[in-house]
Amino acid sequence: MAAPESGDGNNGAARMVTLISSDNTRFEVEAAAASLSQTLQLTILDGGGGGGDGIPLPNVDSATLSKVLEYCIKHAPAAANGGAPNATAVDRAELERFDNEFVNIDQSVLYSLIMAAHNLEIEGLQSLVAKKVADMIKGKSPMEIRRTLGFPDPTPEEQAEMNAHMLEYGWAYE
Amino acid sequence: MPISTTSSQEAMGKAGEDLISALPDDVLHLLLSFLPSDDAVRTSVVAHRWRHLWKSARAIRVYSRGSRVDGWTQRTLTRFVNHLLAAAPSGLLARRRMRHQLRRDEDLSDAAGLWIRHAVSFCEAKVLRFSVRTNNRLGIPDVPFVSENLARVEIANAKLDFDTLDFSRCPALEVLDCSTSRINVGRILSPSLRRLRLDDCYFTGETRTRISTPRLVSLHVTVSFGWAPFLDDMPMRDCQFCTMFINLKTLLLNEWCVTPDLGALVYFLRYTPVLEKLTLGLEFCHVRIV
Repeated sequence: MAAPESGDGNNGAARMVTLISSDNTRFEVEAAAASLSQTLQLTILDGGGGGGDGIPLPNVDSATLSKVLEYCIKHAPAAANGGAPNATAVDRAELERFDNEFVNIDQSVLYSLIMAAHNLEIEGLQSLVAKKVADMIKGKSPMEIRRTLGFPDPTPEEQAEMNAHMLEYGWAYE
Repeated sequence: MPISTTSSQEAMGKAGEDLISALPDDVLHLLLSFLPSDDAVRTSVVAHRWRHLWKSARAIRVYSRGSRVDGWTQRTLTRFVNHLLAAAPSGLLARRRMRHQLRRDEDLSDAAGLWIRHAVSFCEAKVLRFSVRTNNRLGIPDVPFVSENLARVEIANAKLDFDTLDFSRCPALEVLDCSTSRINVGRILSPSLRRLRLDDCYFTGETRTRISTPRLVSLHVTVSFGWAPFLDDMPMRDCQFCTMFINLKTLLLNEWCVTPDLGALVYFLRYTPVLEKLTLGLEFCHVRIV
């Protein structure tokens, strides 16, 4: 993969940083990919994460982090082009294909991913996952939404409350 | 690098609820922002915590329900949007999309005026897109456009009746795009506008629409019927060389500029010093010429 300049003046090989997941797995990635995270970008700009140090991410487990980095690596070249005004239609189509495939995963992984994207401030990934979950809810009845989101069937009290609520919000169900 | 394959379908159920419950409000707001607003409102039933979440969604989207059993009627659509706006006073209206099959009606027109006003003045929308497909074009009533944030206005399939379509109190407005609409407007006024596109419009006024947009850099006008608009005097008139469109680089004109003395064409060539691209579309002339 082409190594986008990280703008730190290193002209040779792409600068690498090490990230450490909550379960102590070390991931070595290009600084440009990790910098898709606004949170990490600051640390990396300050020279952190290089050498034997590594940046600890106590809130992200290794399974989630590897998925997050898969996204970052794929999106880093386009992000380095500043939203890629010169990206070809083929590049964009390829990214779109990747994105669609990428979120075609188990729901619990989606939630961990969006949580990690939120903590790491990776805007594109947050939106991608949020859109995916939204698509799963779209056009469904309240009960179907509950099931889709993984809530158990309501207790009689909850059911009564839901009914009352649906009366109040009748205009949304017409 | 190892790719996660650890999660299993069985992890859902109670665990699923715990996971989504663990998400912070910000994330749920983002999620709801991607939903059509009627779906977003319906999520309020899901659980206590969700009751008011939809009110903070970052966008209001009202889409066509197509041919679904619960497809919009004029009544249900108007009721829905009115309730939505009333119930979500703090909601940010980033976008409004409306595409519906509805019959034109005075009530709907009034409602549309209310929604636009709400979007522009109250919710401080940056982009206003307005397109309602009806058999006839939907009239947009005389709405005052007052907004610090409004940057882009796109109107399609509408009927505009204004003495002055006045954007002088929208200092951030840069783009006005109006297509396949009936325009009966005395004057279009915007001190800040950079790009103006009036595409495939019917100009139904008794007189030419005057366009007063001194900061324009791009102008695209095609006239389907009626009097072509007139580019009004600009404040720069007082300059030594009367350089009215000092930034105008792209200009497309069709039949209307062909008056017997080619006055309009000459005029443009004179007052567009940096014009790079002039396109003349002269296919068919059915415009009255004085």
